[in-house]
Amino acid sequence: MSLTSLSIAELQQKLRAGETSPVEVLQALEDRIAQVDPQIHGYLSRDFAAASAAAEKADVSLPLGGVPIAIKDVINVIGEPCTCASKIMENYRSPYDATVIRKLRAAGAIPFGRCNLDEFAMGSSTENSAFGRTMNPWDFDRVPGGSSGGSAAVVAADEAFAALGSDTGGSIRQPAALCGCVGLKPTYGRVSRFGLVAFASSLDQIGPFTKTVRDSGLLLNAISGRDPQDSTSLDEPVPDYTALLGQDLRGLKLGLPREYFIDGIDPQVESAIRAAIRQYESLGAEIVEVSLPHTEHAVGVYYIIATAEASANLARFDGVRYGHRTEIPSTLIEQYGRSRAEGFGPEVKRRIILGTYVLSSGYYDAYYLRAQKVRTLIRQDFTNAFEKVDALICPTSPEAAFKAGDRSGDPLKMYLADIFTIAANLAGICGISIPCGFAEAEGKRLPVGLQLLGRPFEEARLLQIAHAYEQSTEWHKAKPGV
Amino acid sequence: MDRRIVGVVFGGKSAGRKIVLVVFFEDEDEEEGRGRLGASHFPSFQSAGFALYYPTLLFMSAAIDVSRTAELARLNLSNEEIATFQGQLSQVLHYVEKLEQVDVSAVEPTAHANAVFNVFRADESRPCFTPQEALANSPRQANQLFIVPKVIE
Repeated sequence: MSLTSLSIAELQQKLRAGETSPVEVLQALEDRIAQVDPQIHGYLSRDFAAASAAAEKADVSLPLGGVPIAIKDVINVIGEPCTCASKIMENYRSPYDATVIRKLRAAGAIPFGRCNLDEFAMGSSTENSAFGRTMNPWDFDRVPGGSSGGSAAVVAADEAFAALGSDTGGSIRQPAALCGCVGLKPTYGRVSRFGLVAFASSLDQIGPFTKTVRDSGLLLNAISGRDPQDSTSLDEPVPDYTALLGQDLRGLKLGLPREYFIDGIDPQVESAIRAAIRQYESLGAEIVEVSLPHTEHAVGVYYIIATAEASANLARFDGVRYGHRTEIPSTLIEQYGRSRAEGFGPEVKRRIILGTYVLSSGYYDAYYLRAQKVRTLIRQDFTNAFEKVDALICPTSPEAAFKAGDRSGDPLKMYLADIFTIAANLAGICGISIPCGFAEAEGKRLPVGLQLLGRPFEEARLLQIAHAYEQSTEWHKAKPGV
Repeated sequence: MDRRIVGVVFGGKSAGRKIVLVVFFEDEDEEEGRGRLGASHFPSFQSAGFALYYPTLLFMSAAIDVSRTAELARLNLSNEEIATFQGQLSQVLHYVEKLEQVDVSAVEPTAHANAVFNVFRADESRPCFTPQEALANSPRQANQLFIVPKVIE
């Protein structure tokens, strides 16, 4: 069995038993990437020399000692690019480590490789990258999902043991579902956003892509915690997120939100989800129907709030202190206008325009304020549901991976891909996508993701529930055969 | 804001470009007490067809003024971008119109899902970037300063 096909837990066993070394592991990974990434294009760049230096000094007794972790190219790692998959940040080099990177290093992990994404994390397919799309390892004609499509693809293709991504409206969970790996969005405020290039500050969270649920817990242990440099990070204690793994599910209640089981879900996705629900019943969980009545408004609310916040967060890209500056001689205002127009891609521009519009005088009350009020109702829906059940279970995505180019002309259709993931960001709760089977299209198997949503700060319970299903099935062992 | 249509021109050429549909409208600004004239032009059959299929779009204040908004956002868009975004964003805004059906009369807005308040720290100096680090990505620099276009006339 090749080193690169191992999970982190399996890798750690070998490292600690002395069967392999961090230097050897990194070399095996680099060889795998060199072999496979020209086809997949999950990585935008990687600094093997820096990672090697870290590997030489790695201490395998640390919680993630000697384990290379790939990083979405929107999280600052000192000395490395942070392109945000945008021309406007093409030549930027990070002068600092994000807090999650500092924490990973403290846990012995080695940040290695910059993963492709939709530009500024805006998208659901990674087609909005200014540097080319990433291929879904299960079918190169199809998308890996987005915005963290590169992170998901490299884990699925054994080009990484794990990767960090970010989730604003589903950008970890949806690509995890489409690529057949585990993707976790922590509770808002669980993980520091310091050093993550901000898209929507009240929605963004950094989270792990892994091959197994246990690995997800290992990563969450390392990156969680209050950070004085992120005033929205909460002062909640960090438990051992692997502590409940293996405990059985008797007595636990799983809620099926009736509004999430609608026409428009691909029948093969629905049947895989229904089979998973039956599996949960056989594992001892009680299935209860619940209602999240404001579900139909989630996408609308999101595209007002997220774009509004994005329009403010992306104002800093003005060509003054960093990033692309126009070569055309200009007044200051013209310099802003030209630099930004030259540097940003179409989806980013679209969202900045929409966000600026909904915040502008005369429209703020009708759009932004109203959306924030509906957000309260959406959040309340979850609070009410969680009084009856311990977690919610539903599809992650209404369909399996779609073909590249399918949605490019239709932004609204692209936005609706996030219909099951978006509400969790608005409510600030935690959510995970795990593999639960396959759909078939044109002779190719395409992964289907099951989504579990949990109460704020109850990731340990969420992982316990996810783990029980994972261990009772073989889905997590399937590989795309790249 | 009230918007009313004051004129429509269908078909023609302007500055060598095919224009399929131009709609002239007047916005009445309650605050300012006067009308503002504007025009939406739809340069392709697709966007014009869209506007005609949803004629209410022409009447709703949801018809986004991309040009003016781009100015606010400091984005120099091309005419083509303005027209394309006009159609695409009108579609998105139309979709979000259904939020108007929700009764929010007794609801407080949520700006922050897991809110914390008054997160302060002691007013003490801490390590931060050196000037070299801060200037490392600057497009133009000199004397430990970012060079920018003249702002004072």
